[in-house]
Order: sequence, then structure tokens, then C-alpha cells
Amino acid sequence: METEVLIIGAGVTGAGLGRDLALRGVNCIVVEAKDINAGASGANNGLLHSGARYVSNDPVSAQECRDESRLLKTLAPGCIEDTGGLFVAVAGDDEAYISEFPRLCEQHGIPVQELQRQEALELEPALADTLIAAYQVEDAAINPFRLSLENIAEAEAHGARLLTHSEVIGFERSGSRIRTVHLRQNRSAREIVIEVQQVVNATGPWAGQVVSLAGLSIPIIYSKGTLLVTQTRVTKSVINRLRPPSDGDIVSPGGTVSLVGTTSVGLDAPSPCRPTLSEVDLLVDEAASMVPVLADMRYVRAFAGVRPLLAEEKVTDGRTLSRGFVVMNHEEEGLSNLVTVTGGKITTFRLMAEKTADLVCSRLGVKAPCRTRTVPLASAEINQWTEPGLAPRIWLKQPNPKEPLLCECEMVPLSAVDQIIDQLKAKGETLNLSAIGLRSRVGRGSCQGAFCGFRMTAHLYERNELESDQGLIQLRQFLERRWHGLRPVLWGPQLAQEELQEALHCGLFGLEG
Amino acid sequence: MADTARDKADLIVIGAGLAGLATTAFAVESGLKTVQISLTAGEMPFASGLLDLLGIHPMERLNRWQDPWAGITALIHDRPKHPYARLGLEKIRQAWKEFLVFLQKAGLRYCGWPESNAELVTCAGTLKITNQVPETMWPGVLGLKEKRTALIVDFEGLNNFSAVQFVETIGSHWPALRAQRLRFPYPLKGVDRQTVFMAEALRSPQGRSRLADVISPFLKDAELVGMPAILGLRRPQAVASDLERQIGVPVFEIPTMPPSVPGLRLKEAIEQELLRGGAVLVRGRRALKVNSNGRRCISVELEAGLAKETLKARGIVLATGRFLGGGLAASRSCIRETLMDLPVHQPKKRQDWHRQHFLDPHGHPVNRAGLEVDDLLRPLAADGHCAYENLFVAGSLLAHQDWVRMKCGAGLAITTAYGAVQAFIDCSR
Repeated sequence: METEVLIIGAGVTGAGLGRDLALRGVNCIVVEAKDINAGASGANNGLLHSGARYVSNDPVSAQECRDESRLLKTLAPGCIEDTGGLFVAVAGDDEAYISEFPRLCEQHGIPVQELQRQEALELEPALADTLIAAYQVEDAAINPFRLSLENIAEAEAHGARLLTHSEVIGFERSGSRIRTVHLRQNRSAREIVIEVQQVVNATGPWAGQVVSLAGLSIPIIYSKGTLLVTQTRVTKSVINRLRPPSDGDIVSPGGTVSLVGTTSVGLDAPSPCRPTLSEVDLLVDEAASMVPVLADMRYVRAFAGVRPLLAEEKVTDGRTLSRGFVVMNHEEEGLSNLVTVTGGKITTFRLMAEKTADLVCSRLGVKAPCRTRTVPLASAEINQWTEPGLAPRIWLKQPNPKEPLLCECEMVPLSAVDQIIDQLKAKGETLNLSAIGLRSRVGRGSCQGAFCGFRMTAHLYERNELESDQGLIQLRQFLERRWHGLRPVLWGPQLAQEELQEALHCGLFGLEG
Repeated sequence: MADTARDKADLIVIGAGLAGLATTAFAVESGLKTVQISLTAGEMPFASGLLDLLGIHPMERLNRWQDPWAGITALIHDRPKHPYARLGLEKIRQAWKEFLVFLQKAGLRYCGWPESNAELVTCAGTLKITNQVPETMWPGVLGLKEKRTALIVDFEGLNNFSAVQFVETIGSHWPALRAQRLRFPYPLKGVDRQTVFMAEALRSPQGRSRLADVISPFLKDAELVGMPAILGLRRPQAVASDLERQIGVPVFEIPTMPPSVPGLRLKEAIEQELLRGGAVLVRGRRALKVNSNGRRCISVELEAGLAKETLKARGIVLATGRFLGGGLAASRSCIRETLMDLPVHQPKKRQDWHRQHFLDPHGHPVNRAGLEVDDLLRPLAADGHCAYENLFVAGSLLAHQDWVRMKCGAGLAITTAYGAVQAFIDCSR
């Protein structure tokens, strides 16, 4: 196999880069150790930042977010819910910071509008009575799964290839160049070798580990962020705490649910990364001081991701580090065809891809300009199933009693799952419960897979995708994976739900044996 | 109110799961004036209909017991705080025997070997160890044992049961199976009560003969036919034998996901028999409070619209279940007993409630939380003595047991129900 550009990592940056290069007519392959958005791209609060959050300590990120969020609202509206956002302070918050905020926003050209207390409470009735200040900004919600799936799909439509579950295990160098990249396909344990002209390392927090295979090093700080998913949506818009960035500052809408985040905890390595109970408690307590209903809310799960942050020297508090990104050319370290892009955030993914593609194209002598600033992101119907709340809307508009629902919590019909299975098979990708879950809302509702996990397994048997007891192995893996997110939120009604799940899966089916 | 039991009951039972139903049954059989109260219809739609006694001990070794009595003897020796150890082997045997007689009286026939557990195949195609099996599932137990040639059928549009999955998954243990998808003779309604609808449809002889017509063409060499548990909500033996007569081979039911027809059937049959025995069943009403005088409980306050109703009794049995049943409630900081705020034995902090892996064979410590009791199944107060001399606990609310992992759910419910009623009678003397 050979390619002009090999992109390592199918998070939103790798996906965006694949699309950027493909639109410039450059031949590329995206390789991914797990699946699309398996890392930080799939574990964030889905927030399209207006830039306001960074005005006090990270003006470059603030301005990049301002420009990129505007661009994405026009070019990728299918992935965005333009909710607007509020910055709110409650009694006890730093008054000096509050009064400085609108001035800083204006200084960086970020639109901000002061609201009267009453106006803010009418707009967002869930806000605390202790509210002392509120400013309206242009934040929005973005669906990271749909964004990556659409970028990959458009890249593929223009000739790019995606290889999932394919992990880079080594580079073969010839002088200052990487000549071939060696991959292991994790499902089949088969090794493949790809001849390359350029290699891009877009692996986020794993960037350091990947370049170490070529004998280089990058000083990455691993900052773990934990988030909570509520059972129902609590606010219309994105709610930010008006204070220097800290834990439990943001409540953002994700379709029919809200996401509460985040924490920032230093880690020694990018994985494994699981949410803990103490992080969950911290988030609930902090966020409830802005939105009191969150204290008694039912949470369906928690999740954690690792932010790749860059530092000149080792620091322990990830909060103070820039959320900016870097594109490294590695030429000083003696490699002329490797680029690493890391840091950044989902709001700036397109810009990261553009800057990286510019460098790669200049090396390849490709003159074609970047087109992602002007060409709208193509939208494919199949990727809509990642959108929370969409399936119930479709179902209510057009109930089809003949078509069984595979997932009752999120009302995902069987035909949607069939579409996804067909697509995975057509592309030769790994077909399992997790791959289907990633591309739809199956398993993400309040039952957290208790019923739909079983039904998906049954459906795969019926399609002859599974034989003998393979389904039990898949079901066990699926349930264990969901457990990471479920365990920290087990109290109240969610614990009762878990009790039912265990009675079924262990009491009746005996899956523990 | 005309009903004397309602004026002053001997025993009030709170809860309508299997433990509450069994307690009421034992009380009525002992001639006690009994009132059973519950807010909901109970958890029986979640019950498989199988009567587990003891399948696994110790659970961390996943050790299966063919002889449940030997297993219980070992459990009593190893785990002196387990509710079975409070009861002792003889009471457990007596309770089990008497309850099976009661079920027979209620018109539900169960099958099983007196000294041995049975194995059957669940809707997931997994093997399940249990003790007493509804008669309509028994041919499946024998079929598995003898590796008979069987046709497994499922139905278009039916969620939660797949014949292909069943046949593939159990294939290495029971190879002579064939899967066939059929069209149920009546269009399936809804998404969440399909099996109940199908069971209702099979009440009529016409429904059964139409189903027989659908099955027969695919029979070929099959010696028996397995299908999801839908053979009627009442008198399932009659439904099964009518079908068998028409298709010519035995049929058997396979336990399904909730709502479970055999669970509902069990509830329905027991309740009818309880009413015949003179019990008062109060449904849809929340028990608000238990009134006491010193160490004696004297009455239960019930929600009655906007007002309250007070029911007096000489003794009370709590069979309110765990988190799903509502007997326990968990906040982020602790687990509480919901009706009387009795002390709950529990892990010290929430971090210790669950293990890192869902399927860890050691089980989750939270599942062994619950009420601690004395040898008369009376919950303990903070001082370690029984909280009230006439308050008893039955079922999963009890601490020091993990019925899900040990496969002893029905056994726990039924034997502690028996124990609670016996203790009440002993205490009243």
C-alpha cells in the first residue's frame, strides 16, 4: 500500500485534515488505533466556543475560537445547534473578574451583551437565585461525532481512505525521511506496511508516544477532564461560570441532554482514563451553585477524556496552560516528512487542519489552496443518528408500528441500525456493538445498554454477522465499557436501573460466569 | 369498612413482590387476618417465573451446586450472617415445600427434582441454574438434558427474543436445534408489552389453533417446539396442552426479558388464591408511616387521596425490596431505608459500593447492603437490639445476601417470608 499522506488519528483533527487534503486533491489514508473519536474528540463537552471563555488568560485561543465558530456555523450547520451562551456569576464570585469580563471581550472583538438579572432568569429559569451578573455570548453546541463522521465521509468521497483498529507500531526511516509506516490491525493481528511521502501525527494526547516510535519526543502534559450527562436537558443555552476557568464551570446542551463539565487533573499517561466518583461529586456540587436543579438531577453516565496540552516546562495545573495548538515540523530533530499537530480544541479543528495541510502541501509541492474556509461540509443522512433527540422527533412525526425500535430510550429504529451495519461492512470496518453505538444513540439513553445491548446482539445474529457464542463475548465487552461511565453516577434512580440491569444480565443470563 | 381484617389485622405486609406475596400466603394459610399493601403492582413483571433456591456459592468462585440443599448447608456454614443461616436448613425445607403446595392450590404447577437443581436455556441462549420450573418450561429442561431435536420459533416484530440467537448461542450444549421466524396470527401492538399482548391472544381456542397452524408446517423432524414465554396469563398448562394436541409434539416456554409473562402469571395466581383465603390486598396506595408505642408497632398510615387512612395490626412485615422496589434509596452520601429510616448495613463510602468491573464474580458490595436482623428476622436498631418486637423483614431488603449472583432470589423471598410469619406467630404467643 502507498499514499502521499498518511494521517495518524481519526479524531476530529485527523478527520478534518483528511477532508482538507482530499479537497486539495491530495491522496491520503487516515489510520486509527481504535475508532473514530475514540480519544479526546469523543470525550468533550461539545461546545463551540465564542472565545469568551479564554479572554482573560489565552487571547490567541479566544480570537481563533471567535473566527472559527462563526465559520463553522455557516459551513457545518448540521453539526451545530446555535444555542447561544451565557456567562453567569453567583454571589461570592470575584467581582473584579466580573467587571473586567465585558471589556476583555470587546478588546478581542467578541460580541457580548450584558443582561439584567431578571432577563437572564427569564431566558434560563434553571439559573440560581443567587445570580449576580449575566452576559450573553455567541457560544453554541456542536456534535463531535457527527462532525468527525461527516469530515471522514467527505474525505472518502474525494478518494481518501480510513483504516480503523489499525495501530502504528513503527516507522522505517531512510536518512531524514520516514519511508514506510508499519501498522498492526488489532482485530486480525495482521501487520501492514504503507509507503508514504508525508506523515501527520494527529493523535492528540498520544502524539508523544507516536513520535517516540521515530526516536523523537514531545513534552505533552496530560490533563484529564471529566464530564457528566444528565437524563434531561436543563438549559436552552450554554451556561459558563463567570470566573477564572475552574472545575464544574460549564453546562452545555447536547440535544435532549445536558453535559456538565469539566475537571482538570494531571495524568502521567494518556490512558487508561476513567471518571472517578470524587470528580463526579465535585462537578455536581460546583455546577449546582449555578444551576441548582443539578444537585438532584438523574445522571445517566460520566465520561473522561485527556486534553493534550503543551508546556515548555513541566507544570501540574493544566488549567493555566494555553488551549492553543501547535504544528511541529520536526525538521530540527532531523525528520523532513513528519508533522505533528496537537493541542487545540474542537472549535479550532478546521484551522488546525488547514495549517497542517498548508505545511504538508508545501512539502509536496501541491499548489491547490485550502477549500475548507468556503466549501460547506457535506451532510450525509446516515450520520444523523448520532444526534441526540433526532430519532424521537422522526419517530413522533412518522410513527411506523411495523418497524421495531431497537433502542426504546433513544427511539432508534431497526432500519437506522441496519444502515449503519451496511455502511460499516461496505467499508470493511470492524462490526461490533461499540462501533454501532458510536454511530448512533444506541446505548446512550437511561437504560445504558441493558435492553438495547441485548437487542443489538440478537439483531447481529439475525443478520448472520455473529455465530456460536460470539454474541455473549460482544455483549460482555459492551456492558463493561458502559460500566466505566455508569459506575460513578450510581445513586438515586440510576442505581435502581442498574439493579434491574444486573438482575437481567447476571441473575437471568448469568453473564458473570 | 365491613372488612374485619381492615379494622384490625393480625399482620400487615408491606410490598407486593414475591416476598410480600409469599408472606401473605403463609400468613393466610396460618389463619391470620392479613392485609397486604403496596403502591405499585410490584416487581413481578421483572420476575422470570423460575424459582431459584441456591445455584451458586461461593459466588467469587462461581461454584455451581447440583444439590441445592448441600449448597445451602455449605452456605450456612460459610456465611453465618446470610438470611439462610438465620433460618436454618429445616425451616428452609419446610418453607419451600409449603409454598409449592400453595402454588399448586393456586393452580400453578411447577416441576423440579426434590434434591437437585435443574438447568434450562434463557432467551439469551445461556444456561441458567434454578430449582423449580413452571410446568410449561419443563419440556425444555428435559429436552436440553436429552439433547432432543427441537424447533425454536420467534415472531416477526417481537423485540427481545431471537430464535437464531438462542440456537447459535446454546449450540455447543444443545446442537439439535433449528430456528424459525413466524408471523404471529395477530398483529403485534406496541413496543413494550408485546409478550403480554401475545399471551392474551392465546386465551381463546381460536388464537391457539391459529398459532398451531402457523407452527405446524415447519415442524419436520422436531420432537418438541420452544418459544418465548407467551402461553397465556392464566392456566398456562391448558394453553400448552391445547397447542400440543394440535401440533402433535410437546411445546415449551423460554424465559424472556421483562415484562415477563410467567412473572405476571405467578402474581395473578397467587393474588387470586390470597383473595380466596380472605386476605385484603390494598393496591396503589403508599404506606406513609408506621406508628409505634415504645417497642411495639401498632399501625400503618396509608395515603388515601388527600387524607390518610390508618390500619391497625398486631404485627408488620416489611417486604419493600431494594432500590428498584423502593425499600432502599441511595443518595450520593448514603443508603437509607425509606419507610421507617431503619439502620442500613452498608459499605462505608460510595467508592466501595461497586467494583471496577461490572461482571466481577465477587459481586458488588452495595448488593449486600440492607437491613440486619435478629434470629426472628426483626430489624436491628442502632443499639444492636431488635428495633420493634413485632416488626419483621422478608426478601431482598435483608442484608448480607446477593441473590442475583447466588441465584437464590425466589428462595430468599419465600423462605424469609415463611420465617417472618413463623416468628410473628411465635412472638404473639
